[in-house]
Amino acid sequence: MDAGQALAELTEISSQIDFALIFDARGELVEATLADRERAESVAFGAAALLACTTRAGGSERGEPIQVELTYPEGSLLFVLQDGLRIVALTSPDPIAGLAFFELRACLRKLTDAKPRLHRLAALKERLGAKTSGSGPSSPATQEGSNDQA
Amino acid sequence: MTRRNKLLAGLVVTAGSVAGAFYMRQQLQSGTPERVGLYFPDGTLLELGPEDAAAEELLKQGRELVARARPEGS
Repeated sequence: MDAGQALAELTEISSQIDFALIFDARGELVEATLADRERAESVAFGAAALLACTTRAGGSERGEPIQVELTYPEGSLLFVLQDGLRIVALTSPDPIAGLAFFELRACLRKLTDAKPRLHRLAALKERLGAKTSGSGPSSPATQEGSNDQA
Repeated sequence: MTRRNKLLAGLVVTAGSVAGAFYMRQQLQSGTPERVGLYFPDGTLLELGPEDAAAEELLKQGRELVARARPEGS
């Protein structure tokens, strides 16, 4: 699943999310629900800087937080960090934060779970390619086959 | 209990009720207070109020993010 699809599903499921965007640890935008790409890139960069400050606020012994909630009367800014990806979302006022965090984490998981599958597929393709090109008697696959016959 | 003490107790209860109602009204009018919640991998939650300098800075940055995300006038 790509990031755009994951975000589309997120905003469809969760009525309390106003906008959301996914970015990496360096603040580079992956995908956003905001139509203006330039604006979204600027928000992603600012969000990464904000997260760097949260680590300082929490103290070096605790390390980087995995979730951050900034509560305002007009709504909350929620951040979730998972592996190399981060997601930030603005919610409506008084959100059910636990549920929103769960949905944001599930959205990121769809992307991080998709990655190993792609790696496995690429590895399988490589092995298949090696099999077809290395069709001589010395190839391990052929040797296994001859053992089975014997 | 003398009549005077009863009157005094009544006054204290009434004053407390009025003060409580006033406080609740103030709380409702002010809406959700601004705060920062940091959740760490070990399961701990660090909550910071706006009186905390670090929280104040984070809340300010957050407000700037929202302003950047939303076009002027929307």
